[in-house]
Amino acid sequence: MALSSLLSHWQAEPTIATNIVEWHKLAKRSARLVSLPEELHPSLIAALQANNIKELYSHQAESWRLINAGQDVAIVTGTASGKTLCYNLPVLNRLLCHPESRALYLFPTKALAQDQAETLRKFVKSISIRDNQILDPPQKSSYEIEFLESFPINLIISVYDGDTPSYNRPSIRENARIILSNPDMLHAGILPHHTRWVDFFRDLDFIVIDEIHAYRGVFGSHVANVIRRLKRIAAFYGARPQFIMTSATIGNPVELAEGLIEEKVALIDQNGSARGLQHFLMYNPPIVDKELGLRRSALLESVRLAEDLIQYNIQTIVFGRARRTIEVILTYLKGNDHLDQNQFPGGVINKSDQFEQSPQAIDEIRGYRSGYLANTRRIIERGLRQGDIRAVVATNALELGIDIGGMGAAILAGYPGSIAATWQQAGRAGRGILESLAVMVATANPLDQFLAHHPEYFFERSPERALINPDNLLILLWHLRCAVFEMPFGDGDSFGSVDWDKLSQFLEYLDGVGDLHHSGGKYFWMSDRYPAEDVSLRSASPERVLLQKPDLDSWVTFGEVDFESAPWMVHPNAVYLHEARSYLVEQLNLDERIARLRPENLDYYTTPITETTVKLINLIDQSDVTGGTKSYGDIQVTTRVKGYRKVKWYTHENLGQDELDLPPSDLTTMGYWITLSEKSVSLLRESGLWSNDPNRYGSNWALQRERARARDGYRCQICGAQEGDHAFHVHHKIPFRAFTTLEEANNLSNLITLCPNCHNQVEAAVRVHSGLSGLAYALGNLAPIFLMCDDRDLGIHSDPKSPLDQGAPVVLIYDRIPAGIGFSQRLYELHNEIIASAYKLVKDCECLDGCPSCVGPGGENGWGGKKETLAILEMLISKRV
Amino acid sequence: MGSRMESLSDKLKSLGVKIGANDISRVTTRRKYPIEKILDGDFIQTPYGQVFAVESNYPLEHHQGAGLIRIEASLDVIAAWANDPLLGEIDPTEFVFLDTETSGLAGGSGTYAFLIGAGRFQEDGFRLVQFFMRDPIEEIAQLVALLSFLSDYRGLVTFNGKSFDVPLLNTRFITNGERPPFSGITHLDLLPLARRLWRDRLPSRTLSFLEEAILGVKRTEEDVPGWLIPTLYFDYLRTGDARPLKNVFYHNAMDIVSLAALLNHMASMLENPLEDTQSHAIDQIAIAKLLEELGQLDEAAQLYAFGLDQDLPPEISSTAIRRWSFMEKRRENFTLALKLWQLAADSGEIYAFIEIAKFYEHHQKEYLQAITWTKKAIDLINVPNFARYERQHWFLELDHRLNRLERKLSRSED
Repeated sequence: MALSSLLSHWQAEPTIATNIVEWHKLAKRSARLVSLPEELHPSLIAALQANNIKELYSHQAESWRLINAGQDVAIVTGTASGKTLCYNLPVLNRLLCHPESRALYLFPTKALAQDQAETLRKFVKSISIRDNQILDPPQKSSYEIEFLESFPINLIISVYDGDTPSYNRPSIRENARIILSNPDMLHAGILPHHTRWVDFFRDLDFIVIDEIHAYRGVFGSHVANVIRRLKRIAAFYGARPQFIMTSATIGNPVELAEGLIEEKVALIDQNGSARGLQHFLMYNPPIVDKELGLRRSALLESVRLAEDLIQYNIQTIVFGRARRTIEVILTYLKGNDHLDQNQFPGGVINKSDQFEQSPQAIDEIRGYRSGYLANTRRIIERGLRQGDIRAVVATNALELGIDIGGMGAAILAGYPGSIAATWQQAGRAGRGILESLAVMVATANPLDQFLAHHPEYFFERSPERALINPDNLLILLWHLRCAVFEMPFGDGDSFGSVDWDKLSQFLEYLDGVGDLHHSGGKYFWMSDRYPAEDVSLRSASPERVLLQKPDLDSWVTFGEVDFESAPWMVHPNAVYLHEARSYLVEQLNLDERIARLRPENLDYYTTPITETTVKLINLIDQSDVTGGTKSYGDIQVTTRVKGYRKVKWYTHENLGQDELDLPPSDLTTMGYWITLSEKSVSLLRESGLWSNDPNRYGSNWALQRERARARDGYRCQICGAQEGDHAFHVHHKIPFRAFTTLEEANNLSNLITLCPNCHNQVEAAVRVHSGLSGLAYALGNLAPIFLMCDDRDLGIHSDPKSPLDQGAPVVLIYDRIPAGIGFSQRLYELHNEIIASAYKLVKDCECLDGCPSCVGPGGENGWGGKKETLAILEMLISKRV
Repeated sequence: MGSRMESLSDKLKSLGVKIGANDISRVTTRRKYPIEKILDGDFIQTPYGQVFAVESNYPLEHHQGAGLIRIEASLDVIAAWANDPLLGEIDPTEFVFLDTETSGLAGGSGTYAFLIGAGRFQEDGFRLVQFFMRDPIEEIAQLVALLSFLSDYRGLVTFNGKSFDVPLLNTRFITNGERPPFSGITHLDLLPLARRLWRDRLPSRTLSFLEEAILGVKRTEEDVPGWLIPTLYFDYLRTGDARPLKNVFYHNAMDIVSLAALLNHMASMLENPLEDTQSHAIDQIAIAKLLEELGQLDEAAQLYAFGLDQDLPPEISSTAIRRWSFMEKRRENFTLALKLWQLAADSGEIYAFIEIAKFYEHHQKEYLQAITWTKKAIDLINVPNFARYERQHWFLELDHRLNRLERKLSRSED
């Protein structure tokens, strides 16, 4: 009831109501129930009844039927629809009927495996109690061995992952009927030692892969190869396990499932569970500066909504996109006095806590993200389930099926980056048939603004397709090394769908570099390396940089970041936020993988400045499109974090910047790029909308330039350097194209002599936003809606004289993953659609001349380049769309 | 094929792939230096093809350095240590001494045992056979040949075989579809025993180190360091030049013969620790600890006394005194225990003061004496150069004890 009164309050409150651009109601749904299958093992029927389950949801019954018919299946139903029973029921039934039979469960995280093991054990325990064979297993549940004694029915369920103590491992391998693990452990700990698992593999009947939507992109491509290896080993021991997969709602669950296991898969997606009414609001913060297109901060608006929800005693989850967002929201939520507990309606708060109020109140609002230690996370999850924690601010770390119970409301501070993730995060709200609320608060991000203006695009479009590319050269190569290590390849073999023709090329290559030995028609691993050690399945490198802070006279570790992110997250002098505290980085030691930070109260945060150069390696495909060409191919991108900017909290005022000396990193990957044709450029130039010609400064330019240099004594006016063999540059203080006549533009008072070095820096500072970079900005920000990826998975770059296409103007989007994962290729295919939506985005934006929501923020001189961008898009837009 | 190959390898190179050795050249000396021309061996026929094996025989009285290889001493103490009575019952001729040379140390199913050496005592000598895999396709023949060597064996002797050689060979048998021949066989791994005996005296407990330090063996120039062995085999596979492998065979043979000599040495020093003239005082303390754990307390006490009579490094003698004193306390030999604690107290061992105080408090009910000893300890930890964390550790206990004793004293005086 609290919810409906809050919603009426919002409707009546103009500063809120006017920002709600869409009020979507997801109808409640009643359950479709089916009676328990008669052929269920009697113990299972009894256990179900003991757990108060008398009937199955229709999708659970359908799973039962298809799995028992021997089909590989993918189960795609919403959050809290009872997916686990879909697989647990047929698996446990088989295990009870066949005492040798075994199952392997794979989860994307260790935490999920622990979670599921607990659930399963509880359920299995109710079987045992029912059978009157055991009273109560010991409470110290961590030792697998105790379960061995606890279950006479011999249904031992064990987690086997990197945290499993080695003295427990042999007994688990020998005795466990269900092993819960993760792909990483399978990859590095189980498959390379398959001979220790002879019985397990021989009797392996089921492989359950939970949450397969997590296996997309790089991770998914790795996992698909791990499954190829798994199937190969199982086949060696004579097993052909059946696959049961579950997924959150995505655009292509069958394609993903079939891509992962390379078998035909039956889909179960008719959700038969009940759901309460859900209000789904799209909320666009009000415009505060029309000229700059500035809206109120989505973070602040989210905080405001969350505060209301907390006031109304509605348990709330706030999702933020980035780790920093989480910390900022948390700081605001904790910093305010809204938790004056006596004000809560209902007055449930114990008065005696009054003096302890502040710290206790703070504990009711928690953050949750990667970088928090596992232990902290477990405490928070429990607090959420038990209702002790009233609000949690989380990243998508909570997107996966970690059990936190249903929340009353979910606030998405910014579009989570994909339609699939949005549904998933919104699905965190909703407890049984109770009414719930989900609010997506749009940020200034172009994608958010696009959706705020076109909510139908969100509600009507099917979620994105999860892409994997198991044949990515590098990923395949690394896994082939692992596969040969596990078992030699014979002439004519295949590896999943990789046929001998292709496989043999890889094997010959590996033979050539000395990893393999080819003889007698077989390829043998012949190296003293352990190849699984050379591969991490996650896109982030396995390498972590530990974050340490001072504690008395030593340094203690309080968090970690992945190695690739370290240069931009914890570079020297960076401000890093953790649990709503700010730390200043004292030193970053990339060799020792340690960053040392000191807690510091600072009124600013930092953002890194990076520099990127691009090189073409191999053009794969190219074709003409309206206004130019589109291409994709292999490229090399070199990036360096060359400095950072200090930005003041709240006002976002730039407090200055500093340089850094960090090593560059190279990325060889795939890119998709659009080249403008010469004709398009000249058309744009004729209409005065081409702003990328640096040297067309008019007839008096040569003279004026010489005069400026002479006036300045041939010295750089910034650093004072004297000209050598080459003439220094002469810079327009106010950009040339800002003037209508060249006399004004080239007036000596607007010119200054600079050395190339200083010129570069000045240019960067007052860089005019050309149409081309505006286009890159818009495309790069819009692209994720066509791909199931994070915007961090894509890089954007624009260059009026690009080496990618013989010096023609180019806008580039690339996979931020070595060798690419297929994003670029997909964008290449979707070219027309992307250009059309970019055109819509820029055209419909309310700003005058560019803003963060369309073509990017204007430079300091206020040149946004919106007109120019729109002109280019008009050139490119296909008349057929 | 060639051009496709190039394109894949070019692509991979452009992706920054850096794996494997760089300049791998194939040399065609295969015919010139095959293994049978380098080593005097035979081809053994098996149902799966032939395998090259080198057999060597050593007389029973052969000495490896100063160590006799024939097992003279009883294995009873070792059997008790390993908690495996069978070890004491098996006839020496039923043991197989085993060591492998492998393509790597990582373990896992991609590591091969290209050379398996197995030795066994016979009536007239020690017979060593080394089964060599000229190419991984011969692996199954190699394993099957090993099986026939193992026939009727009852015990296995290795050095680190429990965690390395046996799991590795198990893997080799399984991947070749054969049942591993080691389950149900008594296995004596000398590495953990060596650790027990020489942890305090020797800086390393590798077989080659022990061999030199304990048996006085000097290997000839023919030997190769273990870490080089995988590379030598990979080179051989590529070039077919077996000459460098001669050293690997030598290395493997030495390891196995040393294994026998080391077993005999360990068994005899455990059987007669006092008579063994070669035994070092530190070793005697180590043996004393081991015998104490096995419940042979009189022998242990004798050895503690014998060892402490000689020159010992201070940490070792203080540990020995402590262990011995508690052993005597457990069997209620307080006279001796008190003597040992007094000895320890002289060198400032806080625990000894506490034990003496406990003794006076609980056994003699002499509270004043107990208080005196407790106070002595408190004075001792209060000297400035006493480590801070240690002081914290002891202070609570001592303070608590002192308070209790003073209460008891005042009650007894009442």
